[in-house]
Amino acid sequence: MIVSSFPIISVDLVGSLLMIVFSLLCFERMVRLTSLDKENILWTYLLFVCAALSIFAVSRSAGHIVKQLLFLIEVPGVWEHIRPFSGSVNTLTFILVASVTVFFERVWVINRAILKDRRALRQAHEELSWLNRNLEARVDERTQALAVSEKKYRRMFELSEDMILVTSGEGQILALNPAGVAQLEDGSRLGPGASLGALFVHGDAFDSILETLSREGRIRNSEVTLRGVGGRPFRALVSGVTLTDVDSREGTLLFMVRDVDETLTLREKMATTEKLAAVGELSAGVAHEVNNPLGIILGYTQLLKRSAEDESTLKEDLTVIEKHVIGCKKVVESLLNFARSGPSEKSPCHLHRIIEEVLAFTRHQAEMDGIQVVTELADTLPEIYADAEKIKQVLINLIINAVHAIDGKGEIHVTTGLEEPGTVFITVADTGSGMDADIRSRVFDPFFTTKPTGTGTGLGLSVSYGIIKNHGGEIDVISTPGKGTAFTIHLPTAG
Amino acid sequence: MIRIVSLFVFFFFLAALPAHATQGHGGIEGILVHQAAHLLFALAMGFLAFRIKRDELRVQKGWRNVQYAAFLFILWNVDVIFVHFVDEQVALVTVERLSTGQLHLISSIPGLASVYYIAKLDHLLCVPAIVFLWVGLCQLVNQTLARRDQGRAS
Repeated sequence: MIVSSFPIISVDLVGSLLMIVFSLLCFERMVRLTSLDKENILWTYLLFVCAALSIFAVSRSAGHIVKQLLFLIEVPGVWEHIRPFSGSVNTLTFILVASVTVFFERVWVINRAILKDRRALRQAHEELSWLNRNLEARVDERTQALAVSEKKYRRMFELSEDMILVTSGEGQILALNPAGVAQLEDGSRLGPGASLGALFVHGDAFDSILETLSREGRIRNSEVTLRGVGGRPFRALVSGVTLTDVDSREGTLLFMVRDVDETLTLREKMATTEKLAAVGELSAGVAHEVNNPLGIILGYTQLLKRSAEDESTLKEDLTVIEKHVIGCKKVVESLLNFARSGPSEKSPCHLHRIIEEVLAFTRHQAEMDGIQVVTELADTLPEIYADAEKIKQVLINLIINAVHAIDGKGEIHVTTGLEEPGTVFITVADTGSGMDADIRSRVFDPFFTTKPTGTGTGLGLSVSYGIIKNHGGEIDVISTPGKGTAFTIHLPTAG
Repeated sequence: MIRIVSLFVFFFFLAALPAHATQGHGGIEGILVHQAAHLLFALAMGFLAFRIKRDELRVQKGWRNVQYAAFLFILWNVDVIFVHFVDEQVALVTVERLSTGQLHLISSIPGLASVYYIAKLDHLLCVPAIVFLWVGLCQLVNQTLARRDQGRAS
């Protein structure tokens, strides 16, 4: 195969020249790169490679150029002397590149680890420097945020309408908010160390709460009775949670206590009102149906009695019938009063005058039993628009009940006053035996009585309730067993 | 046991044999070493390309061009190993320079002369390789300068 030597010779010559030029340029670039970043071991590696390549390029390319020139001037024998040296240098440069590469293999790995660590160190250094520069500002910022937070929660603690208490695990009070101070018995004296359990009317309720907290860690809306201002018991909902201090690992208890006495009383009153309204409706129906036959029976009895012979057995029997029918009619009339269906004659009248008339004949009876009647009447009281006789009946009922409730000596206090514009109140309070919650809830029920059989019909308070309702008023009762009972009548003023 | 070994070593040094202490290096030994060096150079370039890939340096334009240079150097080494093998190691191709300035390529294997002729143009591989290397290094220098300037600015 005969071919032109020109492509080979030209490519060889030009390529050799280019190799020398570019290898030297590469070496120059690497020298520059190494001087820019002396710490980077990669550049050192590439510098060695480029140096070897430059030596190789100069050796090989110069050899090739010389070879071509020697062939051109037809002295190829000289090349045979130069050739081994050129080839040896080429071989050495290849081995040099390979050796450097093998050597730098581990250096490369270590270099990467060092660079990674250096980056991490630099980052840590920058973070530390930043923290150092900003530490004071950050402390100020956090302190301010803490103060704002503390103020916020302090205000919540102090302005809360509900009681907030913090106690030890055993129930010793550690902190109590102003609402608690205001609502609890001797609140101002409930300093740290006072027992929360002592404020519970029923101590076992507090033990039960502590047990639930230790078992479950929290308790929700447990209804309890607490001692309020002046020893007055009130019902409250207690919620609590166990807190554990991170540092001391000591357990504390956080309680939220809400006074629900008023709410529950109102709810009970509404239930009572609804019940009495239903009973009143029933009573009115029964009374209406019974009243007419009783009238007929009474009329015929009186007719028969008139025609019967005097002192005859028949007349005596008819008298007994008449007496019991009249008794029945009274009961029916009472029922009608309770049901507010009876007639009443209302007119403006003075409450104090009514009270004086009532006391005029009840005071004597009370004092005979060793009971002192104390009146605490308001200086001036507006007139009420009422049926004076009916109001008298109510007051007599209440005073007689008060006398019956006091065993031995005691006091009955009759108090009046202006409650709010347009409403006056009369309170009849005794120092008698009082009532428990069960009796208190049924006290206005018709035919409910605690008196011995035959001494009371159980209609007195029912009728009083009906009368007051008929006057657009309210009657309520507060009673503490062993301490006494107070009935309060609220009536609208005239005009 | 020690005595037996000592006696063996003693007789080994006393044995009357011709002295051949220094080995000669004639024949094709030189070309074998040169071929091995080419192979090592190719392996080194392969390692460089692999490192650039494994360390994810290819994302930088400069390193990408250095990797291209490494690939081209590998091809160049394969090419020259082939040429050395064919005309010096096994002498399958003989080249005669004619007075006309032409070359007479003689080979007993059909087509080998043509392949040899093309393979002889090895500068077509090594020159692009060194150009890629130079371009890559220029880019690396520029990147380093830019980083340094950025570091000063910040």
